[in-house]
Amino acid sequence: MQTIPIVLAEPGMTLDEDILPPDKPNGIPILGKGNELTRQVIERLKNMGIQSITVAGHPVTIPGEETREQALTSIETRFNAVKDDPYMMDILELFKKQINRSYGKTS
Amino acid sequence: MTNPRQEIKQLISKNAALPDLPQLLTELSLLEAQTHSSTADMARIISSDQALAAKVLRLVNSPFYGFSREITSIGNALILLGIHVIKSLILSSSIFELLQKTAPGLWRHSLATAVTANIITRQLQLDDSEETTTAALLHDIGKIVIIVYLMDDYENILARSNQMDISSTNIERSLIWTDHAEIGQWLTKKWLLSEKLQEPIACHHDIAQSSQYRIATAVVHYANTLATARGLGFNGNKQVTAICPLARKTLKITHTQMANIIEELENQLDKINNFSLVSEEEDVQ
Repeated sequence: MQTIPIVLAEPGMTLDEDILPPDKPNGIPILGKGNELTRQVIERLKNMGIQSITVAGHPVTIPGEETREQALTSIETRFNAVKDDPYMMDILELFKKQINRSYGKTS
Repeated sequence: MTNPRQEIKQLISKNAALPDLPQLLTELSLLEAQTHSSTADMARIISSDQALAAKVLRLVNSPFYGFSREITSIGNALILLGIHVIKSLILSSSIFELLQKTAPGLWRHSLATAVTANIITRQLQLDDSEETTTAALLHDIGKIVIIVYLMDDYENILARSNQMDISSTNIERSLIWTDHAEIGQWLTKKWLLSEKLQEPIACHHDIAQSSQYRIATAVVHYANTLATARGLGFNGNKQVTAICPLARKTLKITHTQMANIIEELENQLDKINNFSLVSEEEDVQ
Protein backbone atom coordinates (compact mmCIF):
# COMPACT_ATOMS: atom_id res chain seq x y z
CA MET A 1 0.00 0.00 0.00
CA GLN A 2 1.06 3.56 -0.62
CA THR A 3 -0.35 6.87 0.52
CA ILE A 4 -0.21 9.40 -2.30
CA PRO A 5 -1.36 13.00 -2.73
CA ILE A 6 -4.65 13.12 -4.66
CA VAL A 7 -2.98 14.97 -7.55
CA LEU A 8 -1.01 11.80 -8.32
CA ALA A 9 -4.10 9.55 -8.38
CA GLU A 10 -4.72 7.78 -11.69
CA PRO A 11 -7.66 5.80 -13.04
CA GLY A 12 -7.16 2.07 -12.43
CA MET A 13 -5.57 2.43 -8.99
CA THR A 14 -7.29 0.44 -6.22
CA LEU A 15 -8.09 1.93 -2.84
CA ASP A 16 -6.34 0.13 0.01
CA GLU A 17 -8.03 2.13 2.78
CA ASP A 18 -11.44 3.78 3.18
CA ILE A 19 -11.62 7.46 2.28
CA LEU A 20 -13.21 9.38 5.15
CA PRO A 21 -14.95 12.74 4.85
CA PRO A 22 -12.31 15.45 5.50
CA ASP A 23 -14.54 17.40 7.88
CA LYS A 24 -15.84 14.30 9.70
CA PRO A 25 -13.02 11.81 10.33
CA ASN A 26 -15.48 9.63 12.25
CA GLY A 27 -18.15 9.73 9.59
CA ILE A 28 -19.25 7.17 7.04
CA PRO A 29 -16.52 6.51 4.42
CA ILE A 30 -16.98 8.33 1.12
CA LEU A 31 -15.45 5.43 -0.75
CA GLY A 32 -14.42 2.05 0.64
CA LYS A 33 -11.28 -0.04 0.42
CA GLY A 34 -11.16 -2.21 -2.72
CA ASN A 35 -12.81 0.29 -5.06
CA GLU A 36 -11.07 1.08 -8.31
CA LEU A 37 -10.55 4.73 -9.15
CA THR A 38 -12.00 6.26 -12.30
CA ARG A 39 -11.40 9.72 -13.75
CA GLN A 40 -14.82 10.88 -12.51
CA VAL A 41 -14.25 9.55 -9.00
CA ILE A 42 -10.85 11.25 -8.77
CA GLU A 43 -12.39 14.58 -9.85
CA ARG A 44 -15.12 14.24 -7.29
CA LEU A 45 -12.64 13.46 -4.51
CA LYS A 46 -10.60 16.53 -5.45
CA ASN A 47 -13.73 18.68 -5.33
CA MET A 48 -14.57 17.32 -1.88
CA GLY A 49 -11.22 18.52 -0.60
CA ILE A 50 -9.59 15.11 -0.15
CA GLN A 51 -5.81 15.65 0.12
CA SER A 52 -4.38 12.15 0.02
CA ILE A 53 -5.47 8.56 -0.52
CA THR A 54 -4.02 5.12 0.20
CA VAL A 55 -3.83 2.80 -2.79
CA ALA A 56 -2.76 -0.82 -3.29
CA GLY A 57 0.78 -1.69 -4.35
CA HIS A 58 3.34 1.01 -4.92
CA PRO A 59 2.24 2.68 -8.16
CA VAL A 60 3.99 6.03 -7.75
CA THR A 61 7.70 6.68 -7.50
CA ILE A 62 8.11 9.83 -5.44
CA PRO A 63 11.43 11.65 -6.02
CA GLY A 64 13.85 11.03 -3.19
CA GLU A 65 11.93 8.00 -1.98
CA GLU A 66 13.93 4.81 -1.80
CA THR A 67 13.29 2.13 -4.39
CA ARG A 68 12.53 -1.49 -3.51
CA GLU A 69 16.13 -2.47 -4.30
CA GLN A 70 17.50 0.31 -2.09
CA ALA A 71 15.15 -0.64 0.74
CA LEU A 72 16.28 -4.27 0.53
CA THR A 73 19.98 -3.43 0.35
CA SER A 74 19.84 -1.00 3.26
CA ILE A 75 17.96 -3.39 5.53
CA GLU A 76 20.45 -6.16 4.80
CA THR A 77 23.30 -3.81 5.66
CA ARG A 78 21.67 -2.91 8.97
CA PHE A 79 21.56 -6.60 9.90
CA ASN A 80 25.29 -7.14 9.18
CA ALA A 81 26.24 -7.30 12.85
CA VAL A 82 23.68 -9.99 13.71
CA LYS A 83 24.31 -12.38 10.81
CA ASP A 84 25.11 -15.23 13.18
CA ASP A 85 21.86 -14.90 15.09
CA PRO A 86 19.17 -17.13 13.49
CA TYR A 87 16.37 -15.34 15.35
CA MET A 88 17.42 -11.97 13.92
CA MET A 89 17.87 -13.47 10.45
CA ASP A 90 14.31 -14.76 10.69
CA ILE A 91 13.16 -11.20 11.44
CA LEU A 92 15.18 -9.91 8.46
CA GLU A 93 13.43 -12.38 6.16
CA LEU A 94 10.01 -11.25 7.42
CA PHE A 95 10.94 -7.63 6.75
CA LYS A 96 12.18 -8.43 3.24
CA LYS A 97 8.95 -10.27 2.47
CA GLN A 98 6.93 -7.24 3.58
CA ILE A 99 9.11 -4.79 1.63
CA ASN A 100 8.52 -6.87 -1.50
CA ARG A 101 4.79 -6.95 -0.78
CA SER A 102 4.48 -3.22 -0.19
CA TYR A 103 6.30 -2.50 -3.43
CA GLY A 104 3.82 -4.73 -5.23
CA LYS A 105 5.92 -7.89 -5.59
CA THR A 106 4.42 -11.03 -4.21
CA SER A 107 7.58 -13.13 -4.17
CA MET B 1 37.44 18.83 36.69
CA THR B 2 33.70 18.87 36.31
CA ASN B 3 31.83 15.64 36.40
CA PRO B 4 29.39 15.70 33.48
CA ARG B 5 27.26 12.99 35.03
CA GLN B 6 26.75 15.01 38.22
CA GLU B 7 26.20 18.16 36.23
CA ILE B 8 23.41 16.64 34.15
CA LYS B 9 21.84 15.12 37.25
CA GLN B 10 21.82 18.54 38.92
CA LEU B 11 20.31 20.22 35.88
CA ILE B 12 17.50 17.71 35.95
CA SER B 13 16.88 18.16 39.67
CA LYS B 14 16.57 21.92 39.06
CA ASN B 15 14.26 21.30 36.09
CA ALA B 16 16.82 23.07 33.94
CA ALA B 17 17.89 20.25 31.67
CA LEU B 18 15.16 20.83 29.12
CA PRO B 19 13.41 23.93 27.83
CA ASP B 20 10.36 25.34 29.57
CA LEU B 21 7.94 22.72 30.82
CA PRO B 22 4.29 23.63 30.88
CA GLN B 23 3.41 25.36 34.13
CA LEU B 24 0.04 23.75 34.45
CA LEU B 25 1.82 20.51 35.20
CA THR B 26 2.30 21.67 38.78
CA GLU B 27 -1.37 22.46 38.96
CA LEU B 28 -2.24 19.07 37.56
CA SER B 29 0.05 17.24 39.99
CA LEU B 30 -1.58 19.05 42.90
CA LEU B 31 -4.98 18.09 41.61
CA GLU B 32 -3.89 14.51 41.13
CA ALA B 33 -2.81 14.40 44.76
CA GLN B 34 -6.33 15.23 45.88
CA THR B 35 -8.25 12.02 45.98
CA HIS B 36 -11.60 13.59 45.16
CA SER B 37 -10.51 15.45 42.04
CA SER B 38 -12.43 14.42 38.95
CA THR B 39 -11.52 13.84 35.33
CA ALA B 40 -13.66 16.87 34.50
CA ASP B 41 -11.49 19.10 36.75
CA MET B 42 -8.36 17.87 35.02
CA ALA B 43 -9.89 18.30 31.58
CA ARG B 44 -10.81 21.88 32.48
CA ILE B 45 -7.27 22.72 33.55
CA ILE B 46 -5.68 21.21 30.46
CA SER B 47 -8.22 22.79 28.12
CA SER B 48 -7.51 26.22 29.61
CA ASP B 49 -4.28 26.22 27.61
CA GLN B 50 -5.69 25.88 24.12
CA ALA B 51 -2.43 25.54 22.23
CA LEU B 52 -1.33 22.80 24.59
CA ALA B 53 -4.68 21.02 24.47
CA ALA B 54 -4.47 21.02 20.68
CA LYS B 55 -0.98 19.51 20.79
CA VAL B 56 -2.06 16.82 23.25
CA LEU B 57 -5.02 15.90 21.04
CA ARG B 58 -2.73 15.74 18.04
CA LEU B 59 -0.53 13.23 19.88
CA VAL B 60 -3.55 11.27 21.09
CA ASN B 61 -4.81 11.00 17.50
CA SER B 62 -1.39 10.18 16.08
CA PRO B 63 -0.76 6.80 14.47
CA PHE B 64 0.86 5.32 17.59
CA TYR B 65 -2.26 4.81 19.69
CA GLY B 66 -4.16 3.55 16.68
CA PHE B 67 -7.65 4.60 17.76
CA SER B 68 -10.08 3.99 14.94
CA ARG B 69 -12.04 7.16 15.72
CA GLU B 70 -10.81 10.67 16.24
CA ILE B 71 -10.75 11.82 19.85
CA THR B 72 -11.87 15.41 19.89
CA SER B 73 -11.95 16.40 23.55
CA ILE B 74 -9.44 16.34 26.37
CA GLY B 75 -12.15 14.81 28.56
CA ASN B 76 -12.46 11.78 26.29
CA ALA B 77 -8.69 11.57 25.95
CA LEU B 78 -8.38 11.42 29.75
CA ILE B 79 -10.95 8.65 29.98
CA LEU B 80 -9.38 6.60 27.18
CA LEU B 81 -5.71 7.09 27.97
CA GLY B 82 -5.68 7.89 31.67
CA ILE B 83 -4.04 10.70 33.56
CA HIS B 84 -0.53 9.15 33.53
CA VAL B 85 -0.39 9.04 29.77
CA ILE B 86 -1.93 12.50 29.28
CA LYS B 87 0.47 13.95 31.84
CA SER B 88 3.46 12.54 30.02
CA LEU B 89 2.08 13.82 26.72
CA ILE B 90 1.75 17.31 28.20
CA LEU B 91 5.36 17.13 29.32
CA SER B 92 6.63 15.78 26.08
CA SER B 93 4.61 17.85 23.63
CA SER B 94 6.86 20.90 23.89
CA ILE B 95 9.98 18.76 23.91
CA PHE B 96 8.89 16.82 20.85
CA GLU B 97 8.12 20.00 19.00
CA LEU B 98 11.70 21.06 19.62
CA LEU B 99 12.90 17.60 18.66
CA GLN B 100 11.00 17.58 15.39
CA LYS B 101 12.80 20.76 14.42
CA THR B 102 16.30 20.08 15.77
CA ALA B 103 16.72 16.31 15.54
CA PRO B 104 14.11 15.05 13.07
CA GLY B 105 15.81 11.66 12.82
CA LEU B 106 15.48 11.00 16.54
CA TRP B 107 11.89 12.27 16.50
CA ARG B 108 11.03 9.90 13.67
CA HIS B 109 12.70 7.04 15.54
CA SER B 110 10.68 7.79 18.71
CA LEU B 111 7.49 7.92 16.72
CA ALA B 112 8.25 4.66 14.91
CA THR B 113 9.13 2.93 18.18
CA ALA B 114 5.82 4.03 19.69
CA VAL B 115 3.85 2.79 16.67
CA THR B 116 5.71 -0.53 16.81
CA ALA B 117 5.14 -0.92 20.56
CA ASN B 118 1.44 -0.35 20.01
CA ILE B 119 1.34 -2.96 17.26
CA ILE B 120 3.14 -5.47 19.54
CA THR B 121 0.85 -4.90 22.55
CA ARG B 122 -2.22 -5.32 20.36
CA GLN B 123 -0.88 -8.40 18.59
CA LEU B 124 0.01 -10.05 21.92
CA GLN B 125 -3.16 -8.68 23.56
CA LEU B 126 -1.19 -7.19 26.44
CA ASP B 127 -2.64 -4.94 29.12
CA ASP B 128 -1.63 -1.31 29.50
CA SER B 129 -1.16 -0.81 25.78
CA GLU B 130 -1.34 2.99 26.06
CA GLU B 131 1.24 3.21 28.86
CA THR B 132 3.65 0.94 27.01
CA THR B 133 3.18 2.91 23.80
CA THR B 134 3.88 6.14 25.67
CA ALA B 135 6.97 4.66 27.30
CA ALA B 136 8.17 3.71 23.81
CA LEU B 137 7.55 7.25 22.59
CA LEU B 138 9.68 8.56 25.46
CA HIS B 139 12.31 5.79 25.57
CA ASP B 140 15.09 7.98 24.17
CA ILE B 141 14.15 11.13 26.06
CA GLY B 142 17.57 10.99 27.74
CA LYS B 143 19.12 11.57 24.33
CA ILE B 144 17.28 14.87 24.08
CA VAL B 145 18.86 15.96 27.35
CA ILE B 146 22.25 14.99 25.94
CA ILE B 147 21.57 16.95 22.75
CA VAL B 148 20.64 20.03 24.78
CA TYR B 149 23.57 19.59 27.19
CA LEU B 150 26.25 19.00 24.57
CA MET B 151 24.67 21.23 21.95
CA ASP B 152 25.95 20.28 18.53
CA ASP B 153 28.55 17.88 19.92
CA TYR B 154 25.92 15.19 19.76
CA GLU B 155 26.29 15.03 16.01
CA ASN B 156 29.93 14.10 16.62
CA ILE B 157 28.93 11.37 19.03
CA LEU B 158 26.70 9.83 16.42
CA ALA B 159 29.27 10.19 13.68
CA ARG B 160 31.92 8.57 15.86
CA SER B 161 29.72 5.72 16.93
CA ASN B 162 28.98 4.98 13.30
CA GLN B 163 32.61 5.08 12.23
CA MET B 164 33.79 2.84 15.01
CA ASP B 165 30.80 0.52 15.07
CA ILE B 166 30.35 1.24 18.76
CA SER B 167 26.87 1.61 20.16
CA SER B 168 25.84 5.17 20.92
CA THR B 169 25.36 4.11 24.55
CA ASN B 170 29.04 3.26 24.97
CA ILE B 171 30.09 6.52 23.35
CA GLU B 172 27.77 8.40 25.70
CA ARG B 173 29.33 6.70 28.71
CA SER B 174 32.84 7.60 27.63
CA LEU B 175 31.90 11.25 27.05
CA ILE B 176 29.44 12.16 29.77
CA TRP B 177 29.96 9.27 32.21
CA THR B 178 26.34 8.24 31.95
CA ASP B 179 23.94 7.21 29.20
CA HIS B 180 20.54 8.16 27.84
CA ALA B 181 18.73 5.39 29.71
CA GLU B 182 20.01 6.57 33.10
CA ILE B 183 19.24 10.18 32.22
CA GLY B 184 15.75 9.10 31.15
CA GLN B 185 15.32 7.50 34.55
CA TRP B 186 16.32 10.68 36.41
CA LEU B 187 14.02 12.73 34.25
CA THR B 188 10.92 10.55 34.54
CA LYS B 189 11.47 10.32 38.32
CA LYS B 190 11.77 14.07 38.59
CA TRP B 191 8.57 14.44 36.58
CA LEU B 192 6.84 11.91 38.83
CA LEU B 193 5.72 9.83 35.86
CA SER B 194 4.23 6.48 36.83
CA GLU B 195 6.50 3.47 37.36
CA LYS B 196 4.87 1.87 34.34
CA LEU B 197 6.53 4.56 32.24
CA GLN B 198 9.75 4.92 34.26
CA GLU B 199 10.89 1.33 34.16
CA PRO B 200 10.71 0.68 30.40
CA ILE B 201 12.50 3.98 29.73
CA ALA B 202 15.25 3.23 32.24
CA CYS B 203 15.74 -0.43 31.27
CA HIS B 204 15.06 -0.65 27.53
CA HIS B 205 18.66 -1.66 26.84
CA ASP B 206 19.02 -3.89 29.90
CA ILE B 207 15.72 -5.48 30.66
CA ALA B 208 17.20 -7.64 33.43
CA GLN B 209 17.19 -4.44 35.49
CA SER B 210 13.41 -4.20 35.26
CA SER B 211 11.39 -5.72 38.05
CA GLN B 212 7.72 -4.82 38.12
CA TYR B 213 7.15 -3.97 34.48
CA ARG B 214 9.31 -6.43 32.62
CA ILE B 215 6.72 -7.13 29.92
CA ALA B 216 6.38 -3.43 29.01
CA THR B 217 10.17 -3.10 29.12
CA ALA B 218 10.58 -6.07 26.78
CA VAL B 219 8.00 -4.58 24.38
CA VAL B 220 9.94 -1.28 24.23
CA HIS B 221 13.17 -3.26 23.70
CA TYR B 222 11.60 -5.13 20.76
CA ALA B 223 9.96 -2.00 19.33
CA ASN B 224 13.26 -0.08 19.46
CA THR B 225 15.03 -2.92 17.66
CA LEU B 226 12.36 -3.34 14.97
CA ALA B 227 12.14 0.41 14.29
CA THR B 228 15.93 0.55 13.94
CA ALA B 229 15.84 -2.56 11.75
CA ARG B 230 13.42 -0.97 9.30
CA GLY B 231 15.56 2.20 9.25
CA LEU B 232 12.78 4.39 10.61
CA GLY B 233 14.33 7.63 11.75
CA PHE B 234 17.78 7.65 13.27
CA ASN B 235 18.79 7.00 16.86
CA GLY B 236 22.54 6.97 16.38
CA ASN B 237 22.77 3.28 15.61
CA LYS B 238 23.05 2.21 12.00
CA GLN B 239 23.41 -1.42 12.96
CA VAL B 240 20.71 -3.54 14.48
CA THR B 241 21.63 -5.15 17.78
CA ALA B 242 20.25 -8.56 18.64
CA ILE B 243 17.09 -8.83 20.69
CA CYS B 244 18.20 -10.03 24.10
CA PRO B 245 17.29 -13.59 25.16
CA LEU B 246 15.47 -12.37 28.27
CA ALA B 247 13.14 -10.22 26.13
CA ARG B 248 12.41 -13.23 23.94
CA LYS B 249 11.72 -15.36 26.97
CA THR B 250 9.49 -12.68 28.48
CA LEU B 251 7.23 -12.12 25.46
CA LYS B 252 7.43 -15.55 23.74
CA ILE B 253 6.39 -14.07 20.39
CA THR B 254 5.56 -16.82 17.89
CA HIS B 255 6.73 -16.76 14.29
CA THR B 256 3.19 -16.02 13.09
CA GLN B 257 2.79 -13.17 15.59
CA MET B 258 6.11 -11.68 14.48
CA ALA B 259 5.05 -11.95 10.84
CA ASN B 260 1.82 -10.09 11.69
CA ILE B 261 3.70 -7.41 13.64
CA ILE B 262 6.10 -6.76 10.79
CA GLU B 263 3.28 -6.73 8.22
CA GLU B 264 1.32 -4.21 10.27
CA LEU B 265 4.43 -2.05 10.75
CA GLU B 266 4.99 -1.99 6.99
CA ASN B 267 1.34 -0.94 6.53
CA GLN B 268 1.83 1.96 8.95
CA LEU B 269 5.02 3.30 7.33
CA ASP B 270 3.34 6.07 5.35
CA LYS B 271 1.46 7.19 8.44
CA ILE B 272 4.71 7.33 10.44
CA ASN B 273 6.41 9.29 7.68
CA ASN B 274 3.55 11.73 7.21
CA PHE B 275 2.76 12.48 10.85
CA SER B 276 3.77 15.90 12.08
CA LEU B 277 3.28 17.51 15.47
CA VAL B 278 3.18 20.91 13.88
CA SER B 279 0.05 21.30 11.77
CA GLU B 280 0.37 22.50 8.20
CA GLU B 281 -1.44 25.73 9.04
CA GLU B 282 1.09 26.47 11.79
CA ASP B 283 3.90 25.71 9.35
CA VAL B 284 2.67 28.40 7.00
CA GLN B 285 2.58 31.06 9.68
